[in-house]
Amino acid sequence: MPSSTFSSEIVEPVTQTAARSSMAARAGIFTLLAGLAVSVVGLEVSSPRILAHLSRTERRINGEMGAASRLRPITPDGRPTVLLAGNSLLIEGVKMDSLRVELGRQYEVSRLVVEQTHYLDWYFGLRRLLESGSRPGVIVLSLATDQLASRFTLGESFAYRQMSTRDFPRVVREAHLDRTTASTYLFAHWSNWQGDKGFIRQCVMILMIPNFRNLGGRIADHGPHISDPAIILSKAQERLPKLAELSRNYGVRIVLLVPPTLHEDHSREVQQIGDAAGVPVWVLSPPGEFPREYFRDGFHLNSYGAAIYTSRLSQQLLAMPSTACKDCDRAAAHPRGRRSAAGELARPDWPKRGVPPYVSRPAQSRRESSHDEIGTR
Amino acid sequence: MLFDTPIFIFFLAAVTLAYWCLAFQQQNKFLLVASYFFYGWWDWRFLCLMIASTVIDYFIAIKIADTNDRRIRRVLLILSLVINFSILGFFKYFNFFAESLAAALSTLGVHGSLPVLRIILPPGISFYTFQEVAYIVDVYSGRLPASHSFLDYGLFISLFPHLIAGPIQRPSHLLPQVQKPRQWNSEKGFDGMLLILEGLFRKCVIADNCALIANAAFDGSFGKPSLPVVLLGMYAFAWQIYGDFSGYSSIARGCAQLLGFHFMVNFRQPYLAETIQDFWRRWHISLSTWLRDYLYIPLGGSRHGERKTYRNLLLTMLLGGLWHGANWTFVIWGGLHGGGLAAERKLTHQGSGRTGALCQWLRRVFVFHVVCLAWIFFRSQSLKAAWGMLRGFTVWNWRPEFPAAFLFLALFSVPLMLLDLYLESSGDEYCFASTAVRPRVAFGLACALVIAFLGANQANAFIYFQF
Repeated sequence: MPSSTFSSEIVEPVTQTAARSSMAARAGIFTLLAGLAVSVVGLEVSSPRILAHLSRTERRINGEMGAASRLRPITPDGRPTVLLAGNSLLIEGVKMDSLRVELGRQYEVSRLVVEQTHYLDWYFGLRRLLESGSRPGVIVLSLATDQLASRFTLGESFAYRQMSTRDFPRVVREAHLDRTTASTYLFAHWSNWQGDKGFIRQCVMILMIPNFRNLGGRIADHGPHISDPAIILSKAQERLPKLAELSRNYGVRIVLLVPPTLHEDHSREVQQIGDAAGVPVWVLSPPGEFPREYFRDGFHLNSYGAAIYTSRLSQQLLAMPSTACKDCDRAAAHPRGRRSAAGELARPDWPKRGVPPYVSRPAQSRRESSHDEIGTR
Repeated sequence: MLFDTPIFIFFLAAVTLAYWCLAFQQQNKFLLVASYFFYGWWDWRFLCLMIASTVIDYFIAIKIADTNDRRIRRVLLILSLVINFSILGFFKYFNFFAESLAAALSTLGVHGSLPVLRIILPPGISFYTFQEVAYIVDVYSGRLPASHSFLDYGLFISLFPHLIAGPIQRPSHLLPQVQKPRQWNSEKGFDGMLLILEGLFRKCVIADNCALIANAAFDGSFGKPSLPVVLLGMYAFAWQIYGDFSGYSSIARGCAQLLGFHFMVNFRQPYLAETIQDFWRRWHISLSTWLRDYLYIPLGGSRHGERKTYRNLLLTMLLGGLWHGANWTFVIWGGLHGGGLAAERKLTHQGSGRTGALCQWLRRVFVFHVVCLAWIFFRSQSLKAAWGMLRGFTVWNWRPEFPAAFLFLALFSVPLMLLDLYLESSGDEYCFASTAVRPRVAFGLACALVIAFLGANQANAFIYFQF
């Protein structure tokens, strides 16, 4: 029969063990929290470097963003500057080297490409770029018509790179973000890690899985494809005037360039809306004109298609009115863009109907196509 | 507020810190307000619906407890059930039944348009409705006294870790915890943090990455269904839904432990089940036990002969399937499981299975594949799409990106498989649960780093949020 002493001897070690275990758990909590804090700070500080080290694309985007932010309307040697902005359709559809050779005497051409981006990425991205003081003479924004109508963005990466703090409420409204996603955008806007983590993961996957690039294209979420003409046209009616307003506010010409497609994309109707809104819409190849052989995957041009398309773009730029940038210096001097003496926003000098050379009639397009040796395929 | 977003981490940290600075009654008040804020974050109108539903059941339960008249008690019980299932039925099933009725009438030659409403499904409505029903039934049957504090009952229904996707808490398990004072326990707090990290690993690393393959296979990005596409889709979705829901449950349990509560375990290595019955003892345990206690047993269970037992099994699983969503695909999914349970019961009666490691593993592989086949219906948008996927088993088409896709899938499913094998052999609730502090800290930090580098950048809500 256990004595009282025996009982207390039993109880005491149990209590001590419990106390030790509780202390160990408390130490574990502090160590874990400290480790997590160090990891977060470490990732926050090092992620831009990690990404720049791992990703050629990241280095390219950083370089292009840096160069774009320094653009002035005219170079010191007097050439107007042109910024080509867009997504992978632009990077694969336009050969920059050829374009620079063909336009070298007349224009200084720069490029800013962020893959998987849509209208909202670029509307707010261009606002941030222009707010930061960048003033290209002309911005050629390359977006397919369904991308113009899309309400998708590149998510956290967009919030980090292309959204400005001031635009956050507008982004929430226009991208129809719920509160949780909105808060995530806000964190990503201020956090290197949140903004970069998608790209870093992609780089890690490329290192770990052979042929991941091909797989990545298949499994990436591009959002639902918009093919309903009613949606495309109503969105164009809503959004092209906003681009025109951006153009007026900052005294920068903005042109929408619609890349070639295999199927009907309603670019002709979008072009009419653009004319009415004051934003020229360049359709250098009507839908279906470029055959499937010119495309790598049905969406992106291959090298041969890109050569022809680049040639058309350079001709279009060369045909651009020479008065294009007469007020650019004044615009660059003004912090919010170009305003008249009375303080009212001035209208750009772009002609009311800037008609690209290849869009009037399909017959003409075909003729120009043969000029580009399309028939030799 | 999703568990895997930064805003939730801040919310949880702020709530936990403030909560432990308060006295007991203030703790409950504060948690109720925090839980309503958490729920209202989606849409305050949904919050009004949930509060209204809570108030109705609170008063009906008191009335049931206060009266001895069996007839009145029964009427009150039926009233509560009708109200609860009417709310659930309206928000979740109105369009489904309207469209199904229209389709049925159309096949009979009666053409006409039935009203279809644009109804947004309130988050978590299936979960809190089941919890309210369990409470009312328990009070009616005398298993539980009615709560006379709206604060306690409201918190039992709305406690934020389980509010949106469970685990469906039993009143007899959670309500007493709400009613009693709670004290900070470092060991439980530490366990809670590790459960949250493990849950985030399951969700962000396993489920969100497998979702990329599953979505590509089921949405046609890999082309028309063929054998490799169906296998990719089927296996990827199996690991996606397991990682997703078990991850959610771990995070919910971890959050509860940080606040001094204990939630029931919701998953126990389900893909290591050797029978379908065993699978349901391991998968979504809070739902399967709810269905058993509040549907299967009241229907008669196995007490009225073989034929009625099979009927009850099938009916329970069909309704369980329908609970997941208003689509015939869920009904078929439930039916497959019900049929499987009935068939298994019949076969088990005829003779016991062989034992031995090899037989055990063969049974596990077989059951895993039966479950995977059923997932095809669960994941497909329609019956037509599900049949399309099943027909893909007979088509062969190889694409250059498939090796990378299978490797990708293996990379994100094998770790969870290994984790399950470890947990099965150790009997732990999470990795290294019974080891010293250092390996547990190392495990937590490793989870965090893997999440940081391999967590998919997907804004995927938890799958079960839609149910």
